[in-house]
Amino acid sequence: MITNPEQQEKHQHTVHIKINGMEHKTHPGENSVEHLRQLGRVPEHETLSQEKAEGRLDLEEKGHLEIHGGEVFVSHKRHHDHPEVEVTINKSVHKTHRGKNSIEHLKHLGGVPKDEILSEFKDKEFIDFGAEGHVEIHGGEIFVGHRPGEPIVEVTNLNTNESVKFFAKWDETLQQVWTTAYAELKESPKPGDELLCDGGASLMTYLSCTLAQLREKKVCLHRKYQIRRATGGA
Amino acid sequence: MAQAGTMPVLATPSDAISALERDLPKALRNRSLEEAGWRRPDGMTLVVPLQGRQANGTVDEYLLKLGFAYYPEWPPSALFVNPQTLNYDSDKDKCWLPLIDGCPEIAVHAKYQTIGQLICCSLTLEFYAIKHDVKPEHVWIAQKHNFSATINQIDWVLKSPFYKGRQNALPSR
Repeated sequence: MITNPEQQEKHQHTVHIKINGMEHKTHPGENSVEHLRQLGRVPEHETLSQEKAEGRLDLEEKGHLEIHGGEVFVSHKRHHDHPEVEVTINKSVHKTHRGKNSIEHLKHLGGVPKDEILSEFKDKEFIDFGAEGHVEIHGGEIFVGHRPGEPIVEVTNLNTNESVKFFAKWDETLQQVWTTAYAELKESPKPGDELLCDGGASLMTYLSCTLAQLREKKVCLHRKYQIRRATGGA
Repeated sequence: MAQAGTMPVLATPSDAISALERDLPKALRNRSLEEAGWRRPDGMTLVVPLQGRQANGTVDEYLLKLGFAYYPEWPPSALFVNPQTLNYDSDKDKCWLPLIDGCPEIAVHAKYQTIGQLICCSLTLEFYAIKHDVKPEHVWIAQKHNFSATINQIDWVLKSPFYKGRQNALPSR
């Protein structure tokens, strides 16, 4: 019989979940995956997955998840060959499991704040994801976090036609964007370099303008910039 | 590697062609040769159409022929050519040359000393072949440049205020 009021309250607030076909009780709210593994006596060499309408989702060993009651979990043997793959999130390489990864998990992995949007850079384009949902991970994916509505800029090095695309901020100056572009292109600025709008117009008189100001002035609205290096001749 | 005051050295044809093949997709920016309107009359030659844009809005068509016999250690040979012959005859083809006036970075000479046409720019082979003076920071570096640089720089000047139309008027038909 439970006499401690605190324990009694906890007891009253347990919910039922299933792990490998067996029913277990746990507390509603955030549960660690470690706790669920212990509860279901999941062997060390197995991965715990949650059965969801959209498919089976592997859970991170050190992760957490919200329990409401009625959740179903199963464990299965880990992939023996390359159980984990590498993805890049905000320029840092992270390891995660192959297959379905939740957006929430990827954001947590990469330290992307909850109020930011996770975006995948694929085929030279950014694809935004909603706050929920999953991504099929094969390895090598590139993700970035960005605030809603932030502008994308594209900068081409005219010496090579190499281009970089990245999220900037509306209050960044064109000079700051240019500096970022050099780093992204792994280039160093040289005296005589010129920033152009795609099409050839010089932007050198606008370097102190923010991207928001350039938008108001309707200057290079598509934000496709080019770095031209001076040459000798004449 | 390219350096001032040294005669360019021929590449082996296989090296030149493989460097051209490697850099062609970057230059074409996801377009095919046909989509870009370019031609490749032989393995080591590209013909690229460019447009000059005058201050009054007039647009003039040019054809730039690039040769890759010394590429990639040296920049491509670059010449404006007659679209009918794909060659340049300094007596007859001046109308196929753009007039660049006052640009400190690039000039187009119809007949330079004994060599004929010269696009005087540190991103063309002919510039080094005449042993033109060049500042160290302007020298072609195979690891830092590809032939897109040559096309882009010539294209830039054709759309700049330095571009003043054709060197000679086109012959009337």
